[in-house]
Formats: sequence, structure tokens, C-alpha cells
Amino acid sequence: MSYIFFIIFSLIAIVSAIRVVCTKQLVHAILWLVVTFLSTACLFVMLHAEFLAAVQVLVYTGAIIILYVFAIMLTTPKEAKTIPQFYVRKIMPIVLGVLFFFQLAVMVLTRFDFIGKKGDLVAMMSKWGGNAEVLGKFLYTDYILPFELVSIILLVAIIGAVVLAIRRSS
Amino acid sequence: MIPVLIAIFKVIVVFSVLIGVAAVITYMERKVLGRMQVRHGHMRVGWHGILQPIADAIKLMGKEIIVPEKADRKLFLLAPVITMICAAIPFAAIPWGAEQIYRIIDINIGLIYILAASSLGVFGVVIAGWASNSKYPLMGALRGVSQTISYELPLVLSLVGPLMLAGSLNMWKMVNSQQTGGTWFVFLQPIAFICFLLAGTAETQRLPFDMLEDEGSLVTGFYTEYSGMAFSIFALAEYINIILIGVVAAIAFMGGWLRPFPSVAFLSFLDVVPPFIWLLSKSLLFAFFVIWLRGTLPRVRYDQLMYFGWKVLLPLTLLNILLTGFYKMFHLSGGMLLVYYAATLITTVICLAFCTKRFYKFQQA
Repeated sequence: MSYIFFIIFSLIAIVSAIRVVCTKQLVHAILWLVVTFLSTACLFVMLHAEFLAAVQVLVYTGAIIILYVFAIMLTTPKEAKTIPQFYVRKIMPIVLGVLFFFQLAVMVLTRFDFIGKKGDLVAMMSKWGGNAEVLGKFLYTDYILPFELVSIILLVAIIGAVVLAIRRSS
Repeated sequence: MIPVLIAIFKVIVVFSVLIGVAAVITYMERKVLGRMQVRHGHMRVGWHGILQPIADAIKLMGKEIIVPEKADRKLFLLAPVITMICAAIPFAAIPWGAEQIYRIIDINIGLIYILAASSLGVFGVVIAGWASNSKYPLMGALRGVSQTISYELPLVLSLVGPLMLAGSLNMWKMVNSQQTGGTWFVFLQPIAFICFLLAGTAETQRLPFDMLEDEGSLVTGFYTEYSGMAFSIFALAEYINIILIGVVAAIAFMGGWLRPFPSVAFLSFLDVVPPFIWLLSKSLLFAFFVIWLRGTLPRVRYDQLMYFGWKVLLPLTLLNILLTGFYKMFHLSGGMLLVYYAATLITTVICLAFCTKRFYKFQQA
């Protein structure tokens, strides 16, 4: 049963991801991107990562995509709203994309042992009482250094954005 | 198979009740607004105009849905559907009572799920505004987008306070800890409660924050081009959103389905009222608050809206998280608890006074 759902959601994710790059209308492309993110969130739910799924929807779909929409609606002139369907002549992005995909696939297949991890996660969730709790425990104990580093990077990004905005307005 | 059928049955019941309550709120809005403006409101259809929502529904169903010629037809018709779905799905995680029978599904991260699901509602606005291919709806949609992003932060952050007190994202556990604690969280979290009410009003796009349907400058904003049932679905979704914010406010701050004063024993005769009635009536209190605001305050200007969201509500909610951290860390009780109450109240008053002063200065400038 869950296998069928897995196939359905991954198919939706892949098809909508292809639609993102093949659609002429920029706004349509963004809406397909929303579908991609939502089906990815469904896949997260199926991996018992409910918190991650909800945050994916809340942050990526609810905020970041909306910012994309905002930027496109505000900045793009009418003629530039449609984009050519395929950059066939630009072969480099395709090569890079394929290379990146293989790199990712090799990484995932060699470095992670999914079958063992999933059982661990379920056991930990029953021990600490939930997905968010497990995530919080790990973020604030084992992975505190990466977590803080990421926070600093985000802070730098925010300050940078503010500085840029101030410089432009004055 | 049977659990699935039961769940589907519950979904149908909850959804029909929602539509019914939304109709009640439309009636309430007209009557309350009428009273606030010293007039009667609807009096013709039925006793004191009580059948007016039904008459409106019949009228709107009979109207034609006109799709503008230059509009993006598919997205134009998809937008109300998306809005309605996003308004309705958060209710899956709402517990309407302590027993299993009152819950559709028990999600451990209920609160985040509700916020995530309701945050998708802005796509309906965006798509409606864009697909209409017309100036006013597009401007309304843009305003809606920026407003929703700005007010989602204080909305989420103001819920962090009660979440820390309850120690769980589970809606059921949240109410449960208010029962064992013997007090509603609103008394421990006054700042968060006020911020939540205001951010919630802005999230549901109601006056004085309804920049995206500003009929003075944008006709009716993002749904200018809609008519008939498509239009009424937007209106219905707005009322369902009000119920949602009210229900979340009730669960996080006002004890959910518990009766008032859950720890006072001699009030236990109030328990004869079923729990979902308590929850719904608390939600209707929020609806009344929203209507009250609409009847009282003029619409804010757009820059004031942004100012209020980012420079007033956001710092207040962050301050509240800090205060709640102190409360949690030192396990306040007795005299210290009173000090905490006093400190919270004084900070709230000072902050609000300071903010309103700045706000009105800003308004004059």
C-alpha cells in the first residue's frame, strides 16, 4: 500500500519537476514547482519525517515560492514573462545536470543505509515521543556545531540583504 | 476499511458544520455591524433576517460565473478551489473534544501541520490575482502576498509561547496541559494572545488589515473579476479561515474544549455542554472580535501595515518567547508567579503604549 503511494507521489514529483523547466509561462512554472514541493513533502511523511514535511510546506511552499512569485510579478516586464522552452544549444547545463544527478545517486547509494536508518528513526520516535522531539534532541546535542554554523550563515545573509537594501535606497 | 469510512464520515460532518457556522458568521457580521452603526441590519427575510444567508446562497448559486476573455481560464477557475481546500484541510488536525471520537486524525505535530496547510491559502489569492489578467486583482494579489508573509511570522512565533508551556506540538496535549495546569494559557501568555489575535486578523485578511481587497482603492482586490459561486467560495473560505484562527486561538490560549475555569469544582455542571460547543463558541468569540475591529477601526495604510507587522508584532512575540523561557526555566510558583504576571502585564502595556505612540506619530508623518 505504502509502496503504491510512494510511486504515485514520486511520479507526481518527477513529472511536475519536468513541467517546471518545460513550461512557457513563468508563473505556471512556479505553480508546478509548488506541486513538486508538495509531493516531496508527501514523500517525507511516508518516511516518518512529519516535522520535516510540515516545515517543507511551511517554509518552501508557503514562503520561498511566494517570494519567487512576488519577484516575478514585480520585476519582470511583460515580454520576458514567457521563456523559450528548451535551451538545446546550451549543452553545458544539461551535462552538468546529468553529472550532478549521478554524483547525488552515487552518494546516496554508497553512503547511506536507508533500511537500517528507518528502523532507528521509528525506535527513537517511540523513545522520545515524536518526530519534532527527535529532531530537537539531535540538533541541540550531536549536531550543535553545524546547527550554530548554519544559523550564523543565515544571520550573515540577512545582514547582507539589509545592507544592500540600505545602500540602494540612500 | 472501517476506520477509513469513519474518518470520511467525520470529515463530511466537520465540513458541513463549518459551512453552517460560516453562514452563521455572515449573519452575525451583518447584525453586529448594523448594531454598531445604530441600525437594524437585515430584517426582511425570516425572523430578524435570519434566513438571509440562505437567500444569499441561492442568489449566488443562480448567478453566472463569468470568465474574462483575456484571463487564464484554467487557473482562473482553479483559484477558488485552491482557496477552499487550503481553508478546509487544517481542520483535519483539530481535536473537538478529549475523546477519540472527536478527532479525525491525531497528528503529533498538529500545530505545525495546521500552520503549514493554512499558509498555502495565499496561493489561491496569487493565482486569482494573476489569472484574472487585470490590474486591480494583480495589485491586490501582490499586497496579499506581502501581507501574508509578513504576518505569518508573528502568527507562528506567538504560538511558540503556549507551545513551550505545553511542551508539545500536539493540539490534544496542549489542551490537556491547560487542564492539568488548571489555567488557560491566555493568563500566562497575554502578549502572545494579543499578538496572535492581531496577526490572525491580518492573516484572515480582515479589516483593518484587508489591503488586498481594499474596495476604496482596488475595487475588491484579488477577486474583482469573480462572480457567482466562484466569488462566494472566496467569501466562504475567508469565513472558514476566521473559524480556523478562532479555533487555534481557543486551543492554544483559551483551553480548547474545556469549560471556563477548568479547575473550579463547583462549575462542573457546565460540563453538560458538549466539548465541541465550547470550542465553537470560543471560535465565534474571535469572529465577534474581528467584526468588532471592522466596525471600529479604519483601514490602515499599506506602509503602516508593514510597519506594524515587522516592527511591532515581531519584536513583541520574540520578547514573549524570552519571557516564557524564564518562566519555564525557573519553575515560577507562588509569589514569583505573581511577579511574573506583573512583569508580563507591565511589559505588555509599556510595549503597546510605546508602539501605538510610534504608530500614530508614523501615521501623522
